Amino acid sequence: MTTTPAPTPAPSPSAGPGLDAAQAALAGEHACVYGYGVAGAHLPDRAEEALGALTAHRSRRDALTALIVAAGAEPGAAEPGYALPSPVTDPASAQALAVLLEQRLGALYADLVGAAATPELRELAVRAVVASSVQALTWGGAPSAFPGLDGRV
Amino acid sequence: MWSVTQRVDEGRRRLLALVAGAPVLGAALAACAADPRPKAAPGPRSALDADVKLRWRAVRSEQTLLALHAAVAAAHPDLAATLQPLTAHHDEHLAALVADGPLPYGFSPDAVVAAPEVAGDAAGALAAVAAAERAAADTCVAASLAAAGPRLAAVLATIAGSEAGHGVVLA
Repeated sequence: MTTTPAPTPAPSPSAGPGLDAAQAALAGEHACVYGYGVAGAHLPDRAEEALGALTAHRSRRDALTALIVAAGAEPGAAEPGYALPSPVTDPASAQALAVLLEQRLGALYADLVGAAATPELRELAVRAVVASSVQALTWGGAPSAFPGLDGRV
Repeated sequence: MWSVTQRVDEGRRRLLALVAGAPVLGAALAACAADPRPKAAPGPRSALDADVKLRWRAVRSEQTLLALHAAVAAAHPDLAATLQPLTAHHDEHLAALVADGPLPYGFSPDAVVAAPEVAGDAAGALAAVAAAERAAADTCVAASLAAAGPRLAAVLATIAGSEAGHGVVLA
């Protein structure tokens, strides 16, 4: 492997709060991908749906990673492991985890909608807010008025 | 498919027990307490005017949806209980949008929207509400993308999320 040093990225206009919010959302996607791996294992009757959600989060994680790289920053990596907020032992607790993941991710993306410094980040975030709202409902979450901003409007 | 994941899952659990200080999933996903209200000075005048228009259209959209909910609930009392919690969301959307800043001169947030026609069968009426919710969500997505103000963009995005959810609940 040749050891050409990577060029130092030029300072980007999207560095700052917008990038912090993007990194926070990316950290959330990493955790979410991990969480769906756990939840999916306990959802044998809805395996296809869980796999679909996992695939969607992976592709959004990758898209977000690419936008952070394009902004000249180093995208945060996934942690080697995550502690679950509560034990996942059956379909009910797996669905509860999925709802929690989607709701918290929705809040991170709602922050990113406001903070995004590029139209691409804004668009990804807006669509993610909608997707996480709908996905939370499919796992049994309750509809809300401002999914991602509830209590903050 | 998941049997493989299950084995991996077992491995992860062991890993979790071994890795001291593994971050708590909830911590990585903890909703940022950041206030989405803009803290910087407002943008150029033209951007502000454009945002007023976006907000005004969103207010109109909420009023139209509220009129549809009311008409459907009146025509089909059996649907009232289903619609009520969702109607309450539109009340919240409308209140947030109206409270968020100026609306065009002469605009009345209490303006009456003409009652829409309602299908004679309950299923058809409910399907019409679901379709209207989805269409409103799409409009809100476009408005959020166009909004200059970060606060307005975030509010519109979450309203889109709420209405897309209504579309799913009612479908």
